[in-house]
Amino acid sequence: MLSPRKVKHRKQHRGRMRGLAKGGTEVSFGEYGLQALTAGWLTNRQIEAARVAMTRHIKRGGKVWINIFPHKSYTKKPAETRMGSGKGSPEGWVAVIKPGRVMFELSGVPEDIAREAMLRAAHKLPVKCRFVTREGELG
Amino acid sequence: MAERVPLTAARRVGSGKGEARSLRREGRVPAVAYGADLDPTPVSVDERELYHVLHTDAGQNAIIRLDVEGDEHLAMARELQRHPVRRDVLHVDFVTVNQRIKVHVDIPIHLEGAEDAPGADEGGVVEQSLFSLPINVLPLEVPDSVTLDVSDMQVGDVKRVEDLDLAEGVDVLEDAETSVVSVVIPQLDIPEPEEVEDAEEVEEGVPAEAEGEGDAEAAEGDEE
Repeated sequence: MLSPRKVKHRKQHRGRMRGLAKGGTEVSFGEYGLQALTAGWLTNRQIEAARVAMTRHIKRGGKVWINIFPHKSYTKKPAETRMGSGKGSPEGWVAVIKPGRVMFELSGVPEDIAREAMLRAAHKLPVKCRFVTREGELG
Repeated sequence: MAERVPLTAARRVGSGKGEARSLRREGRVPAVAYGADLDPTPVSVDERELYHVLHTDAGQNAIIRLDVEGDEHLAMARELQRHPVRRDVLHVDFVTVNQRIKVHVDIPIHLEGAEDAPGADEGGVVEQSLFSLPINVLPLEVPDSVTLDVSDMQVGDVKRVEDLDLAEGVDVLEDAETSVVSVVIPQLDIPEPEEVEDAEEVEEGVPAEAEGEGDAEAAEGDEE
């Protein structure tokens, strides 16, 4: 599972997710991509689940790129705890995704298989997604 | 070969995002035209006309006959800025070109016969690593694309930039040894059902996050 090896600060502010992705909005490595259309936090578990769903569908063949990384830690207070007494303890890692971000890329498989694989991956993610191709960059 | 596509541009009067947004609302795309024989001139072009200019066989490398209010220039579209979600063009640069001076363009590389490659039948995957080729060429001789036949590729074969068939007068700016396409046996990355169970046990025993936390705590401790 993806997680930072070492971080400077264990706990971070939640931040806001305004606007659109600033970079990583085009298919750069493979032939096909999965692009986010809404903003959200993707946990490392969700990223892994999407990757497994994708690689299982394409079976032998194809190459997968994961363009995102869960750099941000999120915290949670224990159940049935009164408010206050400081911030909760780190619970996991998330990647902050903004609309337009190409999260996964794929190559080496026919388009129909890539499309289905990406759809299966999209079902594991908490953001709306669409399938994009390198050829379809013009439009 | 790049064809000359006509495009009419109107000079812009104002500047800034307010004017640019109002132009976009009216179906126009803000742009700037510049080059050796033209000072930077803010212009705007019709969105539909621009779409057709960018969708010829030459794609983004189309040679444009840019008409800036009666003043005609030969130009190429550069630095296309697109909306990250809608993908429509937000702004474009038109760089004027001289017919006798070579220009730098990236031409797309298309593969032919990937399904017929013997390597693909043996379980290999035709993997393209270079999708466009940077070249220097005279503006009116820009090829639309370059096609590479991969129907004879076996597992382990690699085709490089030197194997591309290009016309005379084209200066390739990429290293001749750079790989364009290879046929490789994919590394299986599918966990078997038993392995999945093992993996879950490991996760329950020692969460990956815990390791990260430990390091993080250590790092923070050092800092303090």
